[in-house]
Amino acid sequence: MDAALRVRGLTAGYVPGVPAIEDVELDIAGGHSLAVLGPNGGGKTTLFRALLGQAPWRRGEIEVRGALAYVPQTERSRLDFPIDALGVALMGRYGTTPWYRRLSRADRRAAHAALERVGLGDHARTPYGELSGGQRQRVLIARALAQEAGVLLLDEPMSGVDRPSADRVLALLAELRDEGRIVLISTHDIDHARRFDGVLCINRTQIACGSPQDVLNAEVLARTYGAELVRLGDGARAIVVQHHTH
Amino acid sequence: MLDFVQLPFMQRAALELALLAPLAGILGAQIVLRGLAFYAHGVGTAAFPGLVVASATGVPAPAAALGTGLLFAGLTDGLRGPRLAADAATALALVGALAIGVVLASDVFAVGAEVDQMLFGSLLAIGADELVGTLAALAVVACLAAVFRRDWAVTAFDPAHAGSLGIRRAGDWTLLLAIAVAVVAALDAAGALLVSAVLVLPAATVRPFARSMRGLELAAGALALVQGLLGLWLAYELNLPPGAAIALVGGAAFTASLALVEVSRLRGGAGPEGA
Repeated sequence: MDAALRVRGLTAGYVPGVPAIEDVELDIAGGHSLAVLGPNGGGKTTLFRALLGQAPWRRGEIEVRGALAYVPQTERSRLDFPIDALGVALMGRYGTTPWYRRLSRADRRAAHAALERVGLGDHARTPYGELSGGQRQRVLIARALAQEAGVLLLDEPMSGVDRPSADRVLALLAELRDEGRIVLISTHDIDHARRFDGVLCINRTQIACGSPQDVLNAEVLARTYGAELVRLGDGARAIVVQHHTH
Repeated sequence: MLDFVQLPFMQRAALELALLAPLAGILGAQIVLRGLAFYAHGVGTAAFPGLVVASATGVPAPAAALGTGLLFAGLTDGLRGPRLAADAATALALVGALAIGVVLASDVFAVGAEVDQMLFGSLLAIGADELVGTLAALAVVACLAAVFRRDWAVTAFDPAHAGSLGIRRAGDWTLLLAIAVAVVAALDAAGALLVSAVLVLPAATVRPFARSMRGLELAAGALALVQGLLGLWLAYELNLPPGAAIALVGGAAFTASLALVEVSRLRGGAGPEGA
């Protein structure tokens, strides 16, 4: 897999002339992961939508090598939908299957392989709504793998997931990166962000981008989170007070 | 006891119900998963003034009903916004359509005697024309479903992110159009006010037990046929209006389904596990 993502001067938003993010610059090669860190309303979702070509308006350049796939938050998906894990993974093949063709054996094999890859091969027939939060998150990752994505965009993949499941998801993401993919996650958890190769801090505009050691310092975090940041003791550790608005 | 199956009008009524069953399967599943039951009911009610005008002027009834039904769909879409929720917009348009229909029927065109049939159906008066109309509606819906069914399914499962799976945005409009066509087809059997009994109730009844989209569609279609025939038989035996009899059977089945879900829940049946 030979993925690459290059972003220059990206400005995007929902109303023309009112940018939700401004001047984002990124350069990521395959086999690297990046955490997009920022407060709620800071533009993480807008950045992902712009990368997917779904922002209502945008300026700047985006160059992508490899297919993009988006992994939504499991909390937002429907638990009462009559579908099993395999059915969700198969949705990853819909985009490449014309309407007049049935899903092929190859499509089914790919969806099965994707479920195996995320460690849920024996849950293929389990109803999606009966899986745990962490398992559902992995099924949605399998759906992205079934899309044969080189670039994975994950929206807060550890939210609504208990700690052991979150660790399992993080380990899986590291493996997928090691296979040559680009893994981007949005998060507001500084500890999770530390475990990625790079960190992009945004709050409407790009505050900093680099390795966690270079970026995750008191000054950058203060500029990223503003008044939401609470320093602990020595100033090197900090927590974020979240004001959920959605 | 089964002598009624030899009566031609009963045979035509049963055939009509058999043609409506696949519509109740394919679209009923979408309606209950997308929360479009009120929309379906609204299109049915909006068809009422169209039927009144058609009866008085000689315009073909299905065309007039589809016209006012689609006008209703466009109107609710235009009315809703930040200040008016979609269900409130539907309710407003629905009340307006019913009121306009009543005024037209009683004061403008004086078609009072037929109002009952328009509102509650006339399953026993189904003729060849109505059967052909329902067959045509089934063909239209089958074509739309063949082209768009994956788009409909993904949008129902994951509305905000269907686009990232390569799903066409036209899907939504095609679904609303298909539902409007099916509602108009069901008017002869169930009337403007009872179409939901045919198109929505079966899917709502079997939904808690369905494990796949295909299973939900098949079960809803089968139940629509069974409850339709049972209602038809009851109407014949007890001299009831058939539309209302079908609605009552459907309501009883739905109540039984609710009770079954509640009993299995109280017995500690499996619900979604925690994270």
